[in-house]
Amino acid sequence: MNVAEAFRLAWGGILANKLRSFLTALGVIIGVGAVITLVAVGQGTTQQITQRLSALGSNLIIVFPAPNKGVRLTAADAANAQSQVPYLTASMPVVSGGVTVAWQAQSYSTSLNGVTPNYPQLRNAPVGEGSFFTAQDVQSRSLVVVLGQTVVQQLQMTGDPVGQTVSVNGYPAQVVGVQATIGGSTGGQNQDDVVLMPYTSAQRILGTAYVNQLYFQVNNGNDAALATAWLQAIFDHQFGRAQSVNVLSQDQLLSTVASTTATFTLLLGAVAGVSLLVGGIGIMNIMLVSVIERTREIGIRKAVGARRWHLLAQFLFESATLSCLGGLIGIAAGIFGARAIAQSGSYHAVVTTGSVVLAFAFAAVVGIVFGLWPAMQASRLDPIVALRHE
Amino acid sequence: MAVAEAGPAADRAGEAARLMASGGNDVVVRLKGIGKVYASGALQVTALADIDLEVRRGEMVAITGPSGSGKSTLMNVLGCLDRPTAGVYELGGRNVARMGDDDLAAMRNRFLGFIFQNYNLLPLQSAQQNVELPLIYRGMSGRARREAARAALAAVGLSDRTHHRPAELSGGQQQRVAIARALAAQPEVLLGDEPTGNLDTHTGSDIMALIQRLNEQGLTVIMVTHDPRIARHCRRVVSVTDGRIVSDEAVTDRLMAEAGATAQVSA
Ligand SMILES: Nc1ncnc2c1ncn2[C@@H]1O[C@H](COP(=O)(O)OP(=O)(O)OP(=O)(O)O)[C@@H](O)[C@H]1O
Ligand SMILES: [Mg+2]
Repeated sequence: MNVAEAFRLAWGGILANKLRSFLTALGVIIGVGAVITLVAVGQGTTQQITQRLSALGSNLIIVFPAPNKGVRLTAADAANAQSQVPYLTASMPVVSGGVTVAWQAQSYSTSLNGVTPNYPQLRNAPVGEGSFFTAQDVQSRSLVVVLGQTVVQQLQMTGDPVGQTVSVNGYPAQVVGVQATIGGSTGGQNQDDVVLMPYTSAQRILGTAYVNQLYFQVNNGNDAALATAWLQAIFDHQFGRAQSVNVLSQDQLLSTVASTTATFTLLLGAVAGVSLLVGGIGIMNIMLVSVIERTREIGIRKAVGARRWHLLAQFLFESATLSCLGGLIGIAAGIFGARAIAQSGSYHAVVTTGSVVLAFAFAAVVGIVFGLWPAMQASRLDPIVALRHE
Repeated sequence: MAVAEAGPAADRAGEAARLMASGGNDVVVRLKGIGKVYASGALQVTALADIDLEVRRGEMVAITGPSGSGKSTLMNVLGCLDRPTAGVYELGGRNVARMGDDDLAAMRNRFLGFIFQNYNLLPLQSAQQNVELPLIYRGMSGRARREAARAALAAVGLSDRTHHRPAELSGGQQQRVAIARALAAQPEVLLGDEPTGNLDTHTGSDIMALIQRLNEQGLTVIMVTHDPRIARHCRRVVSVTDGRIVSDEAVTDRLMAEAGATAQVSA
């Protein structure tokens, strides 16, 4: 008896009870499908976040007060730090808060970011129409705004928004520019859903003398680590305590996010992997029942001369074929599931060859490992006992 | 392994040579001091004790005895389905009493054809597939297998039922499929445990006619029956009581079964 013969026998066993074979394989189908879909969602999310972080602007370092340290930053700290730390090529204080913007009868709640004119360059966020405000505007605390695309849409502004006047928390402000569409969101904030102002004017509207964040730029990424350490030291010295501020470079952000999402993907994959394992136990269960049910058949086969390995091969091929078939259908289901999720728009999903190969290999191994015990039971049956079985 | 994988012709020639070398007689089955004790818990049941039996090529032997006398146990030993707990069993010149499971399987596949009271066909497979079964385990190629199975089914008069499943066949036809399965393997010995036990007198007679004809053609037959009339179709009757042989006689008034309308034997 060769491999083809063993396979033919196994296939006969599978076809003999099609519904049960399908239900047996269903566990593996769901397991493999879940692994592929969930890992695809994990991978897709990782890619999406990484892309957005890269779009944030190059070689950026962000400083903000550490929570519960009683530390507050001012705009002067930005200029101060830039003058003390080499490598820094630009700095920008950012003050932010929630505001209500109104135009004619429409009003809309959004976030106000008070920044400096180097914002478009630092954040990779070019102006679409009009122009950005100037250093002069910052100095004179002009009430001028640059609107994000979402805000323009929400206010249903007709005609050219540039030159019109909107009210920001009741303060009349002149629109000098509209941002080009950025798309997407970072950390829950839609980057188009924002109003930009000179930080001095924003401080006036929000009623604060402080800023929330300081942005710095380094010439090249290699300097980021040094600059980060230097900034930490300067502020810790200034405020007289360790870890007074958090200093994050874009590299750090990326690697933090990458490791977080990798864990996330691994968890998703592991949960799905458990379901695949459960599918394997399902196969073992059905195969054990099948061996008992087919005791008579096994006895007949042994009586006419089947040896142990003949029956071992027949039953092992049966479970392996079931799980491999389940694996193939599961791959199709998983890819389909990932597509459906991607199309629904709430998540990105990227099916990777690695996850497909891994899931299938796991399914095949599961079928063989969990089929081994029932197959051994079959091969060990005593022919006389088996023949007497009713 | 070697036994099962060699071609049937070569094997038979080799077997003949071995028999010649072992003394020139044509004893196919030789039991010497065979005993079988079942140990079920503290209780020991002696199913067979000190059985000596020789069967020569071409014989047709009936084994009879009361219920529980050990006929089936003896048959299982003869059929290499079970191992005796004492004694020597030479089949085709080899002691099989101490063989391992796989070697016993090879002996069954190579030397023996078995028919059962309840036929023991695979219910989901056609007559043709059932007959091919022992040949699969012999490693015969698909085409040779189909040829051999078709020839065997023709020999039992079932050429027109090759694609029927057991459930679509009468009891007599099912038993003939079982005989065809035994024949396809070209066995040295045909063994039967109450082969007519489930059949009415008329159909049983058909089956006996078929077995007698196969015996005429040279096949050695050993069968268990509790029916004295069936036993008289054989050439020799061995009686067993309490696991011992109590008589072993040639049949003087042998009955020859008439092949009925259902068995248009064509071979
Ligand atoms: N597996 C077993 N375990 C214990 N005792 C057994 C076993 N098989 C058979 N026996 C005993 O061995 C004895 C012979 O049984 P066997 O089946 O050979 O009888 P038999 O002659 O075939 O009877 P019948 O004509 O009723 O079929 C009986 O006493 C039986 O109880
Ligand atoms: Mg019996």
